Amino acid sequence: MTAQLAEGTRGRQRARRLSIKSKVLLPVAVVLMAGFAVYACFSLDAVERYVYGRTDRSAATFASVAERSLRLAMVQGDPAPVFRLLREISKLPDVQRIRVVNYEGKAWMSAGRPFRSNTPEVALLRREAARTGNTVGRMGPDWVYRAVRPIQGGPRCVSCHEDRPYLGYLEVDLRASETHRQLALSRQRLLLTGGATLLLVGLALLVTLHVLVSSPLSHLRAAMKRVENGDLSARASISSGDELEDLGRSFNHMVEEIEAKNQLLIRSAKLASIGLLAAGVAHEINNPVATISMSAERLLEMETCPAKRKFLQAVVEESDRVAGIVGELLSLEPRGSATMGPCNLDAAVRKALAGLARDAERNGVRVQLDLRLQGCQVRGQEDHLAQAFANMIDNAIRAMPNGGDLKITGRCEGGAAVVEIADTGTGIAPEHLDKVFDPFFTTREVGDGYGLGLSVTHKIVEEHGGNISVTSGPGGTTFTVRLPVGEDGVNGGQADPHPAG
Amino acid sequence: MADRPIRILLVDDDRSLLDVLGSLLQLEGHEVVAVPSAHEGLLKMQEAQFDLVLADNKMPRTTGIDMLKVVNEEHPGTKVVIMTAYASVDNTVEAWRLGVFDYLPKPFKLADLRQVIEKVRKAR
Repeated sequence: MTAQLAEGTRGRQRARRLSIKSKVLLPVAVVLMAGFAVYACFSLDAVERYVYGRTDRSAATFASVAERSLRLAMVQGDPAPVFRLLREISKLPDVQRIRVVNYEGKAWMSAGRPFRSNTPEVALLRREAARTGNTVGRMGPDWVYRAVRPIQGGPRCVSCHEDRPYLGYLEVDLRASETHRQLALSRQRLLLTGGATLLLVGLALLVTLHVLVSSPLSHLRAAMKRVENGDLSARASISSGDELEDLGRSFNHMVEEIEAKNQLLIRSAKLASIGLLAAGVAHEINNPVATISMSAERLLEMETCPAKRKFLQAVVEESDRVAGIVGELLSLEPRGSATMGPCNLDAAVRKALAGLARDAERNGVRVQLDLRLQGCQVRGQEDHLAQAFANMIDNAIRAMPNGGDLKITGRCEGGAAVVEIADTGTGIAPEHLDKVFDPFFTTREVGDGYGLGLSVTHKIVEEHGGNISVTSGPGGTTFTVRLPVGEDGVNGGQADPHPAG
Repeated sequence: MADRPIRILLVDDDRSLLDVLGSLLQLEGHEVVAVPSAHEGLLKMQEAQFDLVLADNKMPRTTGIDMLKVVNEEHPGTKVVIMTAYASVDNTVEAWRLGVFDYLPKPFKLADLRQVIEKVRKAR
């Protein structure tokens, strides 16, 4: 039930999930479209106002001139020349028709396209004339701009037309279709260019987001997925030169750290399990080995036949070898830090070197000792640390069978005591470098060591809360041991892996 | 007095080792009583006096160190040497603290054994 609910919640989360592209594109598209719509409305309105305003002024000017000319002509008693002029004007391409109507609604003059009725309603004309501005309307297939202007009466008109305020009306219909068409075309062009611009901006944004954000993120996600599935060799390759590249680098660094820690944990666990196993079987092996060894030794003492002595000698030596292996394996057993105390690292190194001085001399190895460890006393067991250093020094001497330089340096550095053991020997092959701390790994001949020395060293250094690393090349090998030193000059050591109880 | 053979009580639950080590010590000229448990060893100590108790540490029920405690109390003149096939630091420290005469990690060489017995002879 709980699982179903959780699945349902995940499903809803997936349904609500929007990609970064959508999250960026949607608001940008909405804002751009709204902005464009507002711009288009204002812009079109301004154009229309300008165009119609101009037409309006032209129509008003023309109607005013025509009305005054007509009134003047009527005062002079002959409106015929003005009517002729108006007829001529009505033939102009922008003029559809002109009509002069008297106060009774009778047409005095009509030119251009015929009107629907020859007797228009005066009340209607009056209303049209009184309306502010002129009107654009559709007349059949055409758009028409219509102006109606009253012909004002005056004192000089009384003799013929009595005392009337308006003698009649002048109707002018101008062709507005072309203007209308141009406006429609402008509107269309604006919408098309606006739409295309929006589309291009959207596409550019989409491509930019994909290249700069989505693609690096999907690389990172793929690498994360591989790590999630246990593949710690996965790395994110982002070279965008921005924050995402930093993120990728941080991720890679994190995985490298995890991988290193993981390897360390695996190695420590492996060594510990071998040590525990050794501790478990040591009793069972050492008892029979003791019986065999002592029996053979005693027989060897009594035996004088060289052939039998040879066999007995082999039994004694091989028993010693078995005892040696078990003894070294026991060194891998995890030990607590209970018996650790402040110890002299300088003395531990010197002790380790003193035990191997004869070997170094035999191989013609020159030893340089440069220990400056007075400022950082570590916590631990001097004998164990001496054993750890001895194993590394022994390794170095063996790597220089025809002589060389063994340089041992010690210094305090960043809250740690650092001891480096560098030889100018044969070096370790790159493919062997990560195996040198593995138990039973050795490149020496059978019988020349058990391949446990560096495993024991690793384990001892770890038990002291430190770490050990190795670098090697054609010029030789360097082991670096770092042991922590506390603020009071004493390190904390490692937590006791075997707490009481 | 110095030539008197050393009386050794050998205690080890490993029968094979008990047998061989017993015979070896006898060949060396010592008087040896070999028993497979600490309990039997303590019973033998009621019957006779020993110069040296050579006891394995890891035995069922009563360990060599347990036996050392009893011998220290009841037979203060007897030296105890603990043998062990698995010498842990804790055991060694405890054994020394309780006054063990010596500590022999198995497998040991005949020379080591002889050296320990010689020490006992001198201390007797």
